[in-house]
Amino acid sequence: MAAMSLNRAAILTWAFLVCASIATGLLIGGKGLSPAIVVSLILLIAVFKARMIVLHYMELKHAPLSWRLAFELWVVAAAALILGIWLFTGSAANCVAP
Amino acid sequence: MNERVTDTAEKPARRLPGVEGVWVFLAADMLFFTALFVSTMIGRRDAAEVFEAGRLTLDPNYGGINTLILLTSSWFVVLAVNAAKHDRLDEIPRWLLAAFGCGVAFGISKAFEYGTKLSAGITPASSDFYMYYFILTGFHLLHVIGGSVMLLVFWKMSRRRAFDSRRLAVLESGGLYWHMVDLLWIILFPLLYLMK
Repeated sequence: MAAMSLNRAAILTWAFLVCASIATGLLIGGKGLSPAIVVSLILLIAVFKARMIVLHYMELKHAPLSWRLAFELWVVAAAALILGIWLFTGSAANCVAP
Repeated sequence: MNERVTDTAEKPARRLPGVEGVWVFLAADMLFFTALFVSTMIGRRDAAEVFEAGRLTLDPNYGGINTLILLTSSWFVVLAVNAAKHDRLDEIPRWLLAAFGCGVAFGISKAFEYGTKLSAGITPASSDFYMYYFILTGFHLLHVIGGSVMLLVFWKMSRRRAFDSRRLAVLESGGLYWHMVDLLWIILFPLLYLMK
């Protein structure tokens, strides 16, 4: 029973991750949104996906809090660094014009 | 009834899977990739047009398929670890072989992708964008190759019944590494393929 519920949790996590990946695909194909919104949403989805892997596949959800927080912090920090540099170094500005 | 007793007595203890040294290794590896992510972004700042032109030559379908391959392969590794936790020993090699198959599929897809670039005369020397593209995806591919070899070794070990609920540490630690490879790709894919 316990094995079954663990496996059920694993397939739910996988299904969520696949749906999130499809959402990313729809976003990049979508029209009418500004690049800043699209890039922010793509990175937000990436953060959710990475956090799911950290918490459920790497099992940090039930690990000592310090390890859990360190890896969750990495996920947010990596995405924030990428988005922050993109927004504040003119990369975004270069792309707003068609 | 007896809620109070179960509240305290049945709360599972917090547990770090695998061995602690693996987590330190993963953290170091992830910080190394973070430095690569940041230098890519700084390179982009200095040559935004070159980066965008380069990015538009990448096929996001390859990246998307690779994402699905790695997510699925991570799932197979979770199933292998779950099987070991519950001593369903016959299941372990099956899931590990499936995860290994995904690793091979990722490698083949990457070989096709590199092939289309190289046959079009594109190399790491072609532009700053391609330098970062080949370095990041190349380092990541090395991780996939290393992880696939590990999964193959684990597959052989699991056939000899080397893993069970009391001998989990090696399988769990290797599984954690494989999940990290997935994790890095989830950041790397939008960084190179999707960000305008």
